[in-house]
Amino acid sequence: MPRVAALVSLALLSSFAFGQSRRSPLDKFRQLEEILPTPNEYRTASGAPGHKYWQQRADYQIAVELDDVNQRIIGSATIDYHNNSPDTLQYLWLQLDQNIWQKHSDTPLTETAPDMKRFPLPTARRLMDDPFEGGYTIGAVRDASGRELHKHINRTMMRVDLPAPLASGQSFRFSLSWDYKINNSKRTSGRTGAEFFKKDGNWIYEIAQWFPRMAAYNDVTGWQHKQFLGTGEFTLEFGDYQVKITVPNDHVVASTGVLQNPQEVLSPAQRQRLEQARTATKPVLIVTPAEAKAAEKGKPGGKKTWIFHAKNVRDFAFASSRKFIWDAQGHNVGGNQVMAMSFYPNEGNPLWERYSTQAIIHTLNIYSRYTFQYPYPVAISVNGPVGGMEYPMICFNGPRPLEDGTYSQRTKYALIGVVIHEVGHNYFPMIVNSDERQWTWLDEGINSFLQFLAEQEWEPNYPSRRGEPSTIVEYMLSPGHDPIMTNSESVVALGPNAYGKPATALNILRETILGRELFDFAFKEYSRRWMFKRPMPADFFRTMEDASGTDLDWFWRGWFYTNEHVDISLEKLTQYTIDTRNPEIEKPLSKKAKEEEPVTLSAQRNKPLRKRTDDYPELLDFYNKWDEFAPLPSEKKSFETYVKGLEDDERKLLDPTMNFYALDLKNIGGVLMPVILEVEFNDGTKEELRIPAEIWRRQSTSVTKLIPTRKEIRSITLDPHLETADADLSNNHWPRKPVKSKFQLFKEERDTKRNPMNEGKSDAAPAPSGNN
Amino acid sequence: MRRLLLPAITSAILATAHQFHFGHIDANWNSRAKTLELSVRLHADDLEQLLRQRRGRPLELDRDPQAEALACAYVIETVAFDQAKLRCLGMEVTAHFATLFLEAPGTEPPRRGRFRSFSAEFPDQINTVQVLTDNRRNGPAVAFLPADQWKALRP
Repeated sequence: MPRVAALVSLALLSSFAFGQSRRSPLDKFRQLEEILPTPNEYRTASGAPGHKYWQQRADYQIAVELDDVNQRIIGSATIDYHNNSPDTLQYLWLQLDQNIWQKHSDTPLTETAPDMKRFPLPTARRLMDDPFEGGYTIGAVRDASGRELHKHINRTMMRVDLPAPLASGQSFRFSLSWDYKINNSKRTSGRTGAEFFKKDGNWIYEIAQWFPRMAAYNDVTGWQHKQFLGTGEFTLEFGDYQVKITVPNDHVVASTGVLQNPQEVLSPAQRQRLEQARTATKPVLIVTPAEAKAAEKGKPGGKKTWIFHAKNVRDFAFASSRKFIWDAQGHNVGGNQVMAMSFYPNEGNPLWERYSTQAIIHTLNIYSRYTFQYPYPVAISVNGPVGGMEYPMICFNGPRPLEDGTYSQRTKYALIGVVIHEVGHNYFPMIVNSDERQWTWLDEGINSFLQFLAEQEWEPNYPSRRGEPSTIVEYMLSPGHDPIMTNSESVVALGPNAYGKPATALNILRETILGRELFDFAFKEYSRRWMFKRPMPADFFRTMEDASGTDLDWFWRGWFYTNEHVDISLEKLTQYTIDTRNPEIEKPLSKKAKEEEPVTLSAQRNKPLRKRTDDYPELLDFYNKWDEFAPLPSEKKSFETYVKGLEDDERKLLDPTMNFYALDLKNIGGVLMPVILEVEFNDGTKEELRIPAEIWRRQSTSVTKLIPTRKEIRSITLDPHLETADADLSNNHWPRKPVKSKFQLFKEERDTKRNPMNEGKSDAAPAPSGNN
Repeated sequence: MRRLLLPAITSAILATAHQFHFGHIDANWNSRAKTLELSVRLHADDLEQLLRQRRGRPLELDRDPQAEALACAYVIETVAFDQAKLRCLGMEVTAHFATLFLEAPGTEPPRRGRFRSFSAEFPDQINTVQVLTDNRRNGPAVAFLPADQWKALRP
């Protein structure tokens, strides 16, 4: 055992980790200013909107007809565009997202070759059959006086040339018309579409990204007219919408906004049920399963126009079908009375009637707690062809039971999870209006993090897909994966990159780096600052630092700007004790150490051999009898002199019971993390040491940490609560412990543990609904 | 060169708003048993949807008695290590992941691998293989993008 030689050395060792022999070439704590945009009067260095922050506004009056015979949308709109920027605009840009389904759209043109050895049938169909040809037909664009304006369509974007420059503070009114063929989701899926039910001949329509929408114009990108390729969803301007939706008169319409003419489109019974739902404590059926079933068999006798108003929203979507069951429950969210509503066909039951509206209300409660009070009057979840997609006040969610009405545990959690996620998107990015065409993670990652928090308050041990650090380890190990800060359209494996990894990062930031109190305050501040405004990544990074009072640049750099992973290894533990210089203490210790040294094989075998000195004892002299570990008088005297020369407080430090453990740590993965140690002592007690990531600030690849203790250490476990996404648990123990692989565990448990999902099939799967 | 295209009995999994598109294999060479042991982790949603479309009728990964056999067949079709004859031992399904366990006898750790699960269906699929010997990593994982076929697993 190494002995610390002198008090002077000891003082140094206590305050400074040793073994710092070499610096890594780049300081991982260097500030992000070299990457982040320079703060200005629009966006401050603290991450808040600046004193001259501005954003544009667009108000819409739309009339749209849903053609249920030909699956077409026919619309016209008057748009009031308000130029709140300091700039004079010569033209306006609008998004034409439906044009990704035009014949020569960039989306199929830029698709790369499929696996030519396994050629999926739909790929063959897409390449050999007539593909779906959608896209807008845009009519004349006219100003308020009816004068036609020049327009130019550049794939998924359209430029409208203004008759005169639009100065700062001015508004411009123009109108246009359009129509397009709705995609059949079974063959061409997307964030919008129609689903056909062969058995009853009816459709469910989920209509989104369906009208020419004003592109965002802002202080960071100017016009955000990055072409839509299918992944980067969108960012738009806030505005008020008045939308008249004409549908077959037996359809039920779910929409962004508040219905303005219930007396014209709802029956007296439906209006009465809706009123009852406002104060109900559980969902009330506005359209019952039996009524929806009856409607499936009927034929429309004409058309009805549903009128909706929505205030201060960044987009507008709706759904329509005669197949819809409709339930609703009023709910007070921090003083705001919200109507939570679900629309679904009989095919969605019994899952939807049990979980959808409950999940909406749960989401509003939890998300509002961590952000701001939900400001809109309705929150809607619709079942149809779209697997999961969000719009203001309304979202589309796909999971359904099997045809016999039974469903698996996976389907149940898929529905609850997707409803929480999509309703949660009202907060990010529908209200905190980040730019998803550029940065998917800024809403999806934050929303997935909040989804995790909400799911964990749904029921004990809710099986969340994302959030727990262990769920992202394999992705972070993949070589060459994209950093989170990668444009939406370029990301490979979008799910783990833009949803899972940032969700985990924020969870670690909350639980391990900042703690819940600091994190929650800072996160709420970010939400408050950017509610109904457009933040950029730098605003998020800066606000979290500003409001928590913590430099997190190293964290953002590691988790958001690199593709490194977390792997810290416990390399070595060396025990040191104080050299007291007292021969009465030191000599017996030396003797014990000598006795504990291993005996060599030859020495063991030679021991029984008779020695010459056994036969001739006269050969033994002083050196054969001398006890080298017995304190000599001179040594004792020397020690007494030494002690006399010490001050009282220095004398106290000659404590032979003190242990100093030097723990060598290696950062193999690259991403910096706090070092969380569970130390177990020989007396069976345990202690947790939580060392901030700043331990790596002078040397980011290896450090030695000194642990002074009066107890002797039996073992150390790194990251005992699995909170840092450490990729290799086999090097997290001293002494090393074998870690069983998943394969070993499977083989061991295969014959003894049965799959409860299969085992309890009949119990787990609810009986078919009587609604059909 | 003219080659024949063989349309597989599968359908494209259409893009949804929330994609996963990531697979991972721990490929452990058990030196004592001279066996290659594979844990293949795929996203259950992706796998369920693919098997449903291949079979042409509804399938739930965690309840259907045929799901394991279908999943094993798909993995054996899309995963290969040298000339190893993979034998599927079974599948574990949780709410979000499906893990398939396969093994193959051999004489040495694998030199080359191929991991093409979902590579025909998703242009942004990324698969990774982590090679281990006796459960210790041999080096960094190897990534497979949709265009990748066989890749060296050790230098």
